[in-house]
Amino acid sequence: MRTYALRRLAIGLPLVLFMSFVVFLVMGWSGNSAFDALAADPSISPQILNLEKRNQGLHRPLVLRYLYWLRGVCFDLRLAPQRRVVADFDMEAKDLPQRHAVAAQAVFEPFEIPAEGAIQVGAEPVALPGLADPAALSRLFNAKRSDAAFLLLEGPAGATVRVHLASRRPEEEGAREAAFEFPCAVPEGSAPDAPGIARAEIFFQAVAGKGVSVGHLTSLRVSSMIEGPLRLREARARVRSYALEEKEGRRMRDAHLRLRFTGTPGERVSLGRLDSPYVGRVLDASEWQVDWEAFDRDRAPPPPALEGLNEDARARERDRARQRAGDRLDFDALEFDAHLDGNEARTLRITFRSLPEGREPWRRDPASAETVETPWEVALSPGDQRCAIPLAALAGRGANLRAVRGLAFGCDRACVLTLDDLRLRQSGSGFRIGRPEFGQSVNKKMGVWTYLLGKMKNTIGLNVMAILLIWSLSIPAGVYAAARAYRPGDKILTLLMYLGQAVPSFFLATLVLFGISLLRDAIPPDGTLGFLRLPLGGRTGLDHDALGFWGRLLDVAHHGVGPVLVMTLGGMAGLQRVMRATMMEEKTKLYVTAARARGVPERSLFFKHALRNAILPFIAGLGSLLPAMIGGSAFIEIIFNYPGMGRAMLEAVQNYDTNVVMASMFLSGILIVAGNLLADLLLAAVDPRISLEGRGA
Amino acid sequence: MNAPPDVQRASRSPLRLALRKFAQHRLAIYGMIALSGLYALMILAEFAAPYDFKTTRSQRFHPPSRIHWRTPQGRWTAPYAYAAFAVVDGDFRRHYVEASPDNLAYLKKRLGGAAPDTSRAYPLRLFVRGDEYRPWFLAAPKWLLEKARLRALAEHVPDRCTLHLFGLGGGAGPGAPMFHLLGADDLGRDLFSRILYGSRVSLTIGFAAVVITFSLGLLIGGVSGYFGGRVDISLQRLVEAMMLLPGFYILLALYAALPKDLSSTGRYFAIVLILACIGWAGLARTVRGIVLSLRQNDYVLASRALGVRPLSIIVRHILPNTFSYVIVAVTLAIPGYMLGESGLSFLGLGIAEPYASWGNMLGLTRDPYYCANYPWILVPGLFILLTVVSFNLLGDGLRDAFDPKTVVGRKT
Repeated sequence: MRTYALRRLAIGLPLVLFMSFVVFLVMGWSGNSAFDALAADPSISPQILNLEKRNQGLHRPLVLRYLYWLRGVCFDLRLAPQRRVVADFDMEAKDLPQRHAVAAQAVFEPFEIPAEGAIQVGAEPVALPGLADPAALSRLFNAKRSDAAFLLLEGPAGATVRVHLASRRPEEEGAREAAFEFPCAVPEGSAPDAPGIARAEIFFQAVAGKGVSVGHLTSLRVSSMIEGPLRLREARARVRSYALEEKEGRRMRDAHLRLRFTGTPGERVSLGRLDSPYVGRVLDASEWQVDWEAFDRDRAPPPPALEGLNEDARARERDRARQRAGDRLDFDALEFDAHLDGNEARTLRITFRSLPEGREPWRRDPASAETVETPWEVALSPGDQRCAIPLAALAGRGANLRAVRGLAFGCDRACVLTLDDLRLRQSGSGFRIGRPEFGQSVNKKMGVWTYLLGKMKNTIGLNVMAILLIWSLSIPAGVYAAARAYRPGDKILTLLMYLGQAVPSFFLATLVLFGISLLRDAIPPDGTLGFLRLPLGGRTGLDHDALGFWGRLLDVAHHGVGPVLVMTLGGMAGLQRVMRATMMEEKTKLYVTAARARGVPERSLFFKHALRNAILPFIAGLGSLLPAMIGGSAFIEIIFNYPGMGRAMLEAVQNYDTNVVMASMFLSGILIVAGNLLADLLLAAVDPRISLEGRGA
Repeated sequence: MNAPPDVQRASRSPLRLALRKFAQHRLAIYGMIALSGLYALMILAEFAAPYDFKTTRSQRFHPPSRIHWRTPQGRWTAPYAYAAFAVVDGDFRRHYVEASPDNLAYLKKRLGGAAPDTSRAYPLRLFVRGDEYRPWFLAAPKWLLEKARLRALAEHVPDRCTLHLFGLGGGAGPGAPMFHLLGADDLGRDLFSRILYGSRVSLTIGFAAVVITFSLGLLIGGVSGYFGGRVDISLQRLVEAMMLLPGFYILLALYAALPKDLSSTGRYFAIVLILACIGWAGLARTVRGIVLSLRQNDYVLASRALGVRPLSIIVRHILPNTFSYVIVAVTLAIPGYMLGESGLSFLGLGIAEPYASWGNMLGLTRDPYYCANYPWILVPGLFILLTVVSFNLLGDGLRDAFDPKTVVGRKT
């Protein structure tokens, strides 16, 4: 039996891996990725997005990505120093004329508006003169050349002006609308009765994030809660042209941070932390986006606050706390590549600005006065080099590395320095076994294994309960039907089971949910039949944490009644019919006639002898139940909002979260292989006719 | 003299025997009738449905229209219906009140200017003129007539039609209310019409997927069963592998690979392909079993001795003999594909709005509030159930008919 089991596993596991490879190829090839949805979020800068993509490995070719995933899944083996890129200074837009660094400038192109008078604006949106027809709109909102549009509106003071954009794609049925609000305030220093000025800054990314297509705008209307005259003063488009620095020097393939020091004492170029997108200012090095969160690690993490959170959030908090406690890679150096122009060596002074010890790093104060500055000097030689700053030494000098707020670069003498690829490095190799590394879920922002483990427990719990119930219900039902064959009881049961097999599982689930809602309406909440008031989905109630151990168990059981009921009804039908059919067949066999001739009582004949033999194909059918249920319970989880693996898979598929999809497919594949094997072993153990040595099972 | 009677009886062909056995299986006949009805409605969907699947003249969740058979005076008359208007009561629940003469005053009080002035009774008639449509089902006859050079007849076949099976008569123009046999959905579209248009997707997707499964399963099963040995073992490993894997998860994962802006037809074919790729394994296994047993027959041996090529033997001799089993397997597999597509559309991953599919329409029922207050949205599920049960009955009947062990005249 052992060799048989091993042989099955030896076939099954590579199979699951092969399937995962095919699925990975298919998903990766399609080009949809979870980052597409995140790209529309205006609060995530494209640079951080790119950094995250690079850290997730999306820059590698597809097959290589699969191999990295496989390595993480099978055993977490690290052969080279791990690096986490913190700032790569790459420009995100591909249509940049030349990918030189850095000093970029956004240029505002004014838009000619016909000088028309004021319009009366109120709660109803009205169109702006001059921007009423789609042609004018497409000139202002030209997504190919600009990424934001600015309108300067003069309107009722103190009002909130709302700009409504509507678009209609040719292939869509209806129009889509979005609205953006801007305060209309009286500028400081003007007369109190002066009209208010509203600067409507409309970022195309935000527009796209709300579902409106910038290229197909049909109308722009304005409304305001306070009635009054509104006048369009100016309209500008922020054109994505970047004023480059002097183009002397080498043309680099990617962008770098170019620092030009004039030798003025105290001159510094800073990289700081910024929390909000900025408007209309010149981008300079001081505002470059660096992934500071990579530095953030609490020394003594507070216990995770789990009150009032649902399952997902709770798992996320626990995961975060565990990571904070040191599960993640511990970096030991800050590395960067530098190129020094000229022939002379220089000393680069890097100042780390960090929050003092004890301050919570998640408090988002920009450039607070209360920062600790730690200088460090790096000797640079002319040409290319890689510099590393040991973090331990930095910490020794007093920097709070778990709450870095900014870096500043200075040089004592004039030089031109180019920096690239700021990285945190963990040296050495490592080997970790035990917890498979399935990667990070982009949407849930946590480790995939942690996320799915909870879900898997829920799914298995549901399935096991359902199987137990199916087993205990369909055997008696089948036996009863066979005992009273062709009589009314049997006929009714047969009809019910036939229908039960034909009804789609999701429809049945919907009907049961409907029934539960009717039940809830019919039964008063505080009554003797209160326990019959089944909850409408979910796994735990609102006050789950406040209950004791038995209370929590009861709560989970209460919530599980609905899903388990549906799974039982759906699964019972087929098995009952199998049971009945085999019992009927056994009844006609010769050994039954012989036993009857021997004088064995009828009852014992039926329930002891025939049943024992009839149960064998039943077990075979039961064995294939677990695999089928793992796939089939997905619908029921989705409808009952039960946090299981099927629902997690569906969400991941809808959001193109590759890691979660791969992991859940892999895990469910393994569960199914194991389930099938278990079923076959069980059958072999029960049926003496089957031997595993040959090609029996 | 004449041949003895038993010889005559024995010369009845197996096909006729099977047909006779089938005809005696009452439930299977019912199933076949139900299916024919459904497919006839599917073909004539534009004619049988009073509206298009997109027409939304009504308000949300309009209940099934009440048909009146008596005049207000109490006499029997031809059926008619009134327009209904939505009135929101103090509990923020929506009630539909018809514009019958008794309710006019109430409607005026509640709705003010939006209430109708007069109560108009729209007669419910068969064969009424309604919204225009293009009769797709007439395209084939028209083409046939043209090919047969019956040009004059072909020109009589219209390109556009306004005749509907039933609807509101009495000069009901575009301003007339919609007559909802089964109520309306959340956008005010007639559920009955959507069910008929949706049947086009739901009822055909099974066949489309089965065609692919059929070919693939027959080929692989036939080759595997005929050749045996290593070919058989390796192909069987492949088949077992396919059956081992979580179908639903693979379905979802493959679905994620589709481009986001796929057109509706594209989606249809993508679903068909994915379903077929997952489901061919079962048929292959069945076919292999049958081929293994057929392989022993004498005619196969004779063909081999004559030097006929193996592929030719498989295709011309063995596979035709598997047809009786294969037909049964296919008939029982179609509902599986139908449920797969319904499931996908239910989750929002299949046929997209505004096109209708039964699973699509059931997606609305996910909210128990809707189910409780507007229970007619559950009807597409009943249609799915009816179709699946009919296919199962038909399959059972076919299986019993082709099974040589069952005897004519005796019910099992």
